This record gives sequence, C-alpha cells and structure tokens, in this order.
Amino acid sequence: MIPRIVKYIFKRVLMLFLVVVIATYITILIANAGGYVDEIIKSEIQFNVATYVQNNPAYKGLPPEELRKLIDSMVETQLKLRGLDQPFFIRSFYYLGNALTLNLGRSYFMTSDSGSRMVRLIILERLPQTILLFTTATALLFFIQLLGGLYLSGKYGKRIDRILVNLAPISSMPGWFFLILLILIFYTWLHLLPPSGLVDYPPPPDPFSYFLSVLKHMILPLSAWLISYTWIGIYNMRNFFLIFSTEDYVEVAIAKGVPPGQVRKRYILRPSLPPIITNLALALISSWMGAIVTETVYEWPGLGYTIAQAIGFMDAPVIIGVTVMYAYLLAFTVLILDIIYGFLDPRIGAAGR
Amino acid sequence: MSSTEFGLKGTVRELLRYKGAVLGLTIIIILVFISIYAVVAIPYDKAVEQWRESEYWIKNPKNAAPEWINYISDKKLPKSIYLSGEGKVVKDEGRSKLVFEYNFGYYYDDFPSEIILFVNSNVTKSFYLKTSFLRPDGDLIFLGKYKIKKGENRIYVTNKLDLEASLEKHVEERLGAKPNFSITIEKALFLAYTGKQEVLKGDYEIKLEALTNATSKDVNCEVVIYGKVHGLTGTDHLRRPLSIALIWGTPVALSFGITAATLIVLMQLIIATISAWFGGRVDMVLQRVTEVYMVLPFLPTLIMISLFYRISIWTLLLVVIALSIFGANVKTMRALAMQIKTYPYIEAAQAYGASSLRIVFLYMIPKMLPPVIPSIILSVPDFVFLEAVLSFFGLGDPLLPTWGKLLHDALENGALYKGLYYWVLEPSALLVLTAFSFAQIGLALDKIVNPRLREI
Amino acid sequence: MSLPILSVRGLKLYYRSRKGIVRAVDDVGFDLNRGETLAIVGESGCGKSSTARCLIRLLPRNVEKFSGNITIDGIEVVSLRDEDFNSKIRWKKISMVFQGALNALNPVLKVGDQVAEPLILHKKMSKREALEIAKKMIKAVGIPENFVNRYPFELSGGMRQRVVIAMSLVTDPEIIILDEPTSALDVITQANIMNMLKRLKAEKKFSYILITHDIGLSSELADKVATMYAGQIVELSRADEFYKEPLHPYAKSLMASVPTLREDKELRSLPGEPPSLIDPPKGCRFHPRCPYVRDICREKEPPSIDVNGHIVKCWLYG
Repeated sequence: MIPRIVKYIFKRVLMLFLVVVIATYITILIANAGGYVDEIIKSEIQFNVATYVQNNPAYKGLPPEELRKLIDSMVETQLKLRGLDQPFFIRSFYYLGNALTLNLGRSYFMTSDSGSRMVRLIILERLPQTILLFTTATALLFFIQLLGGLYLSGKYGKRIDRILVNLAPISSMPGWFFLILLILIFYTWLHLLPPSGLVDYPPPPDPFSYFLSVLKHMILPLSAWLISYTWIGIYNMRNFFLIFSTEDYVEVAIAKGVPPGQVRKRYILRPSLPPIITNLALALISSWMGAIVTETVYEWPGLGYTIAQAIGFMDAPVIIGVTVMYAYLLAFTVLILDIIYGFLDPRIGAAGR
Repeated sequence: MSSTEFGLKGTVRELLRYKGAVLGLTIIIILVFISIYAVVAIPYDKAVEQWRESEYWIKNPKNAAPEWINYISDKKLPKSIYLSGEGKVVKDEGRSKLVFEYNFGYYYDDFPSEIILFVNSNVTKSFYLKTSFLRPDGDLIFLGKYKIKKGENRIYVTNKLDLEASLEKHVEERLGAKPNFSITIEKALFLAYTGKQEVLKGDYEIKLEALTNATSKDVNCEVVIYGKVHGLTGTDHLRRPLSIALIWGTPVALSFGITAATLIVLMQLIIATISAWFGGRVDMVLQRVTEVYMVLPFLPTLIMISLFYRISIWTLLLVVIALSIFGANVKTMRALAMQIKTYPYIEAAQAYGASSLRIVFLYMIPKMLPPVIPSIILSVPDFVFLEAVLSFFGLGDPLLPTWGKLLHDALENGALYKGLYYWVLEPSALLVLTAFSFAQIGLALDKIVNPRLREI
Repeated sequence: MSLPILSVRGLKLYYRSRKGIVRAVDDVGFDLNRGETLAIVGESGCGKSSTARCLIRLLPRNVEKFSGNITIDGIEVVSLRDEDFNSKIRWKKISMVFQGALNALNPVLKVGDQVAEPLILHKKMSKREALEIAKKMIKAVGIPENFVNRYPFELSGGMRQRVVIAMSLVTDPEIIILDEPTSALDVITQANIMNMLKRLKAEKKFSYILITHDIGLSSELADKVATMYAGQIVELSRADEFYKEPLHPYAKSLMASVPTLREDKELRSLPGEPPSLIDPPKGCRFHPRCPYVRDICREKEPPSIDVNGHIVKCWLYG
C-alpha cells in the first residue's frame, strides 16, 4: 500500500513538470516571434561546424571561398538533420527539448568567469549566489513574521498591536527601493558598508575572511528586504491568527483549560499552517521577482544581475536562458511548499489511510 | 457582509475615522492636482520634446542641487551667474574694438561648476576675442584668445586644458608650494591663496575684448558662471531641471498604477467568478492556466517582450495586464465565489431563468466587489513601482520623463558615489508619498470591509 | 436536605461594545440540585449562552462588570482568581458541550487526543493512560473505539457532537452545560443524542444545564425550566408545571408557538423585536410586546414573585 502522501507528491511533481513545460514553451514562442531562438541555434551550429572544419587537417589549405561554401553546406545539412528546416511548429518542440534540459546555446557577448560563453554555464555559475541571498532573506522573513504574528495574537488591541499594525504601509515600498536608500545612508553618507558586489575587491585569500566579507556584503540587501516586507508580513500573520483564534474550537480549548501557550501552538498555529503555506507560495513567487531588481541595484552577481547585464548587452540567449531558469526555480518553490502542505494537512497527511 | 451595512457614504465616513487614511487621501488629492497641472501646463508633446532636447537647457548647470539646500547647509553653494550687456566701442591705438566689461560679486562658499562664454556674432569676418579675469585681490588672469565666427559661438572655458595647466602653475606660484588638492579652472580663478580650498570672496570682473570694428549691435555676449544649485529641484547630468520629470512623472505614475491595478483585479475577479460558477471543465482549465502563470516568471518575460519588440508604455501596460490576469489572486477570489454561489438568492435567480452571464455579472460580481476593492487600492503602489523598475532596466517608455527614469538616471550616473543625494531623494520622496497614501487608504478599507479586523 | 450542587445569585455580566455597554446577564439567580437537569430557554440573544459562559468563566474580551455569586459544590467561584478557577473548577467540577459541534473540534488533531487532553491537563495522567480512558469514553457515547485515531473531518456531524460530549464527560465533572447541543443536527441524530444523554445521566448522575431555544427538545431532559428574556430570568419552575401551564406572558407565547402532535393548535407568534441589551425598555423589559401590559409594567421592574414554588417576574402575580 503506497502511503497517500507519496501518491500526492508524485502527482504534484508530474503536474508541476507539465506546467514548466508549458511555461517554457510559451517562453520560446515569445522569444522566437522575433526569430531569436532560430538565430541562437543557427549560430551554435555554425560555431560547431566552423570549429570542426578549422581543426580538421583534411580541409587545411583550402582557399577561403571554398571553405566558406563548405561550412555553409555542412550547416545546411546539420539543420536538415535536426529537422530545423521544418515549419516553426516542429522546430519549436526541438527548442523546447533543448530548453528543458538547459541546453541553452551560446551567448552573444557575455562570458562566465571560466571564459565560456555557454549560457548554461553562465547561469549555473550565478545561481548559487542568488540562492544564498534569497533563501537567507526568505527564511529570516518567515520566522520573523511568524513569531511576530504569534506574539501579537495574544495582544490584540493593546498598544504594541496598534503600533505594529500601523507600520504595515511601509511594506508598500519594495525591498530594492529601501536598498537604494540604505546604500545612500550607509555608503554614500557614512562610508560604513559596501555599495555593491559579493565580496571586497580584491577578494580576501583565506576562506574565513572571504566568508566574513560575503556576510558584510549581505547586510544591506538583507536589511532592505527585511525593512520592506516584515511589517505587512507580521500584519498578515496577525490577521490570520486573529481570524483563526475566533474559531469555535479555540474557545473550546480555553474552556477546557488548555494553557494559553498551548492554545497558541496547537489550536491557532497548527490549524492555520496549511493556509499559511498556501499564501507563502504566492508571496515567494513575487519575492523571486523582486529579488531580480534587488540584485541589479546591488550588483550582486546572481541570476537577476545576469539578466540586467544581458539587457545592457542585448544578449538574447542569456535573457532567454535566465527566464527558463527562473521558471524552474519558481516551479521548484511551489513543489517544496506543496510537499510541506501535504505533511501539514491531515486530509493528505502522513497519517492518511 | 458588513460593508453593505454602510453603503458608499457610510464607508467614506468610516474611512475618515482613520487618521492615516485621511492623510493618504489628502496626499493623493494633491498628486491629482499636480497631474492635472502637468497635463495642462506642459502638454505631453512639449514635455517629451523638452526632455529630449538637451540644447534647450544649455544655460542650466549640470548636476545642480536644489537651491533650498543653502538654507540647511552651512556651506553656501553658488547659484549660476549670468553676465550680459552691450559692449562699448573703444578705440585703442587706432584700432577699434568692442569691449564688454562685466562686474559681479562672488560671496559663495564654493567654487562654480563651469564657465561658458556665449558669443553671437553677426560679423561676416571672424575675429578674435580676448578674455581676462580680474580678481578682488588685484590678480589679473588672462583666460585666452578665442576665434569668433559668424553665428553662435560657445567657448567652454572649463575644458581648455592649456589654460588649466597654466593656471595650475599660477596657483603654485602664488601659494609657494604645490597645493594638496586638485586644481580645476574654476577653482584656480576663485581660489583664496590660503592653502586651503577656500573661495576668495569679493567683487570680480570679466573683460571681453572683441578685436573687430563691429558695432555693439552686431556682437552679443553672455558669460555664464555655472553654479552648483538650481531651482526648486536641481538638475540632472544633462542640465534638465528635475522638476519636469517630477511633475510629469505624477500623471504617468498615477495612471499607470491605477489603471493596471483596477483592470487586473477586475479581470481576475471575472475569471475567478466564471471559473467558480461554471465549474467542471471550465474550472479545471482555468485552474491549470493559473498554475502556468504562477510558474512563468513575470519580470524576465516582461523584459524579454519589451526588449525584443520595441513597445510604448501603453502597450507595455497591456502586456503587464496580460501577464497578470491569471495570477494567484484568482484562487482566493474563486474560493469566495464558490461560497457566494451557494447563496439562496443565486438559486432564486436561476429558478426564474436568469442566464449564467446575467448571474455572474449582475448578481455575483457586485457581491464580491466590496472585499475586493481594498486589494485594488493596495496593489496600486506595486504597479507604480513596477513602472520604476521598468525604467530601471531601460525598458520603460524611452520618451517619457518619469520618476523611475529619474532614479535610473541617478543610479546610472553614479549619484550614490558622487553624493548627489537630491537626485535620488526627490523621486524617492514622491514614490514614498504615493505608495504610502494608497497603502493607508487600502489598509483602512480592509479593516472596514473585514469586520473581524476592526480595531476593538 | 443536601445543598444544591450549583447556586447562582445576582449574577451580572456587562461588556463594552462600540455602541455602548451591553447588559448580557442582568441579575440572574437559580439553584441546581445534584442529578437535576435545568433547561434554560429563550430566544436568541436573551442571555442564556452568556449565563453559561459565566459559569465556566469564558468571558468576553471587554468585560465591564462581572459580579454576583456562583457556588459550585460549596465553593464560591466568582471571587476565585483565574489560576484557582482553572485548577479547581474548570473542567473538573463543571464542563461544557458547545453548540455547532462541526467546528468545536480542532481539525488537525486526532479525535482521541482531544478527548484525552483534559485528563492530561487536569488529572495529570500520562498520555497512554489518558488515551485508554478516552477510548472508553468514546465507546460510551456510541462511537467505535478505533475512531480514536481519526481526524474530525473523517466523522459525520452526529459523531462529532458525540465526541464533543465525550470530551466534556471525560473528567467526570459534576455539572455539564449543554449549549444547543443538537441544533446543527438532523432530527434523527438529535433524538439519538438526547437518548444518549438521558442514559448517561441515569448511569452517572450528572447534573445538566441544557440551553436551547427549542422548547420541545428541552422537555426530554428537563427537571426544571428557566425562561430568560433580555438578560433576566422571567420564570423558573419545575418542568412539568412549566410545560403544562407557563405563567409569564413571554413563556406563554413561547409555548403557544410550539406545534403539538395531538391537538389542533392555532400557532401564534410574538409581535415586535427582541429588546436591546444596551438600552432595555424601562420597567418590565417585556412590556412593549406583552398582551397583558398595564401601566405599572411600563414604570417599575417587577420583582421575582413566588407562586407556589413557581417563580415569575411579572406584575400579573404581585
């Protein structure tokens, strides 16, 4: 007997994969309406053919005219072989397959630190920095919100509650905006913290100082993130808990004599976790997008900054590649949250029969 | 539903009980007035033209701070000084020349940013213009001899490298040693020889001698000694007054934000209601579409579209809407619609034969509007900032001067490194005011519509 | 004669609201003997639930006044501090079955855990011991023992209500308050539950306070009936006397609105609206709707008059 939760996870993985496929296909459609993907694939093939021909001793000594004709005909053959002379509809599926396996071609100008122009390498190189900044910010924010909301749930109507609730409008301004202001204060004015980047330049040689330098650089972006999103987060959690604390079973628990701490934990927090997780998915998705701007403002070498640079270079392959990568990241986020949800909701939960 | 217990008038009255909301409402009304002023006083075409036409602003200083900064700082920054006037014909050793003598007092604490001579000549034959500079301490400095052609001439004194070199030497001589700060032409001209970077305050004179026998009607001169402050809002790197973008940015921000928020939420509402009402296949399909939308990265896709296909800001708005209408809010609204579907009066409507369309639009959606209105208002700031984000990435309308454009220009031109606080703070202030106001109103409305959240 | 297990005198509960001070319970008094069932009847908003909540100290957040005398098994409880009430009285001497059982159970906790919880809290039992007793209790209310590991969403409405009842009995309290225990259920389930309550009462000698707006239902269990109106008890008497002939005009109209199986009764409803608890009518609170109203009713609030052991708050009898 397969436990219900495994079946559930399996279904969700399948569903999300399908969704990624569709989203990637749409990306390709959008990108190729201007012929960009065609170009990318074609230049990839041309590059490979040209390299092959140049390194092949059999073709040495051929006059340039001949070489060019040879390369062109080989490119033609290659295109035919892959079915790329077919109508767009068929071509698009070839591209889809490539995109899903992160086979994203070669950039126009940008290179990875190792010198390669493979878009996949460029993206994978920058991915860890994005994950570092994003997950730290999100985790911190989640716990602050949760604890804040929980704390306030015992203090409705009191002064601290009123104060924190009135701070919620601060969150109408996004994290990257506060980052600009923080840089203005802590770098331009006070010269205390760095205005950009992952580490000091030149980077410290030993791992520990390197680590500290990275931490130092994370202070401003993380602070900006927290300053922006904490207040509405606490407000929403507090409202959540307020609404959930007016449930009948909470009153029953109080009547039974369950101590307030336990009421908060078992009767307010636990039942409200499933919908909190659902809302969290939505919040995280918009967070990923906000992170793009934050990275750009701070020149943090992650995925978001990559796409900003790519815009400057008009480097279409990189832009398309980053879009596909983000689709994967978003789907992955949703999947993780769905799995957590599965464990929390008894209707699907581990104890399901 | 408690909001119906209030009605429109009652809701507004309730709203006014919240101080934050009153403040927000006031600010928005002011912003609307600014918008109306912007559209009326500086019509769109003129604004765009002025913003692009850098020549138009040539008499403004570059990167100047707002004038009121002098009230709060102890160091008085200079305003631009415009010297003009008729020349006198003077006979000197048989040759006639046109002499322009301009006197001015300079009592600021900081040096000018630039010096440009504008000479307009109707004289067919080119002639030379000798320029000299007399300091209060009697030092006479020769600024160079320049060839003046017929028409408009501009002499960028600031850029003359040989002049700079000779002035450096001059200063060294006067100080007796090499100064421990860098010398620019403006600094050298106005430097007090105390060894520190101090201005020599007093009366100065600039003398221009046009070596031509033209009359004063044929040659016009203007000497502009560019200051470091200008106007109420300062200027940017292209000498444009920030006020234009600040004022014109207001209607853009408001209309972009409000239109996007309203259209998107309304369409999400319609989609959610249709999904809930029809159920079955329609519901399933719409749910899947919503999931695809969740995973499709909004910003990168937007970037792709606006980069690959040049589009104006209004097309961009349509794209933003298209990319948002199946967003995640649809799920929450659908849950609400499912509840409303079970209400008896909906059943009654079905019983007397009302069509589905009628039920959805005339019965269900009006019922769902009250709880949805706060979220419309609350999402306006998101779209105002989205416009800023797009300008940031250089994707917004390339023509329009907007707040986002200002921020983008500021950061791109190193405002954070050069300490040009005002360039960042002015658009930021407007963004903050707008966002804050809408948020206050939205949150107050939220409390009214959701009785459980009301202040006790 | 033994002392009553519960004795209430001069109970008042006022709380603040946006529109003013609500006098939810305004001078209520009654006795309950061991093994007896007191039914409190009245329309919505008359103060019956508030009275119940006073007994179990589930007070609203903005209490203006909570005073009077409640003596449970010899202990005066209004003057007790919260900690003492919680350790000595709450769910030990008195427990409560809530209305709307559909939502009275925590959806993410197993049913058995919820029934066992009071034992762990108040009798300091280990989880295993408590679960054993919980199992027995669940069986006693007519649910299969193995349901102890189920979640509330897996149970029907009737089953959930039984679980809530089991939860209230598990610590063997003296008094059990039943606040509209069956109003969310269908008639057949209702009958089953009432039968179960009767059985339990006979077996374990519980004292019930049954709160309901359904007069017919109350007659199944009640030994005594108290009728409440506008926060006050307007009639208090033995059940058989009450059902045969109520004395207070309000009680009379309540009975007149209940259909009977055997007679061909003309049903009459009561005109007017329930009174405001913030600004109740002057004099007798029922006077605006009373068919027997006299001048004195409009001026002076009637005292509680004893008519052969039958207490009525009406000028008709004084």
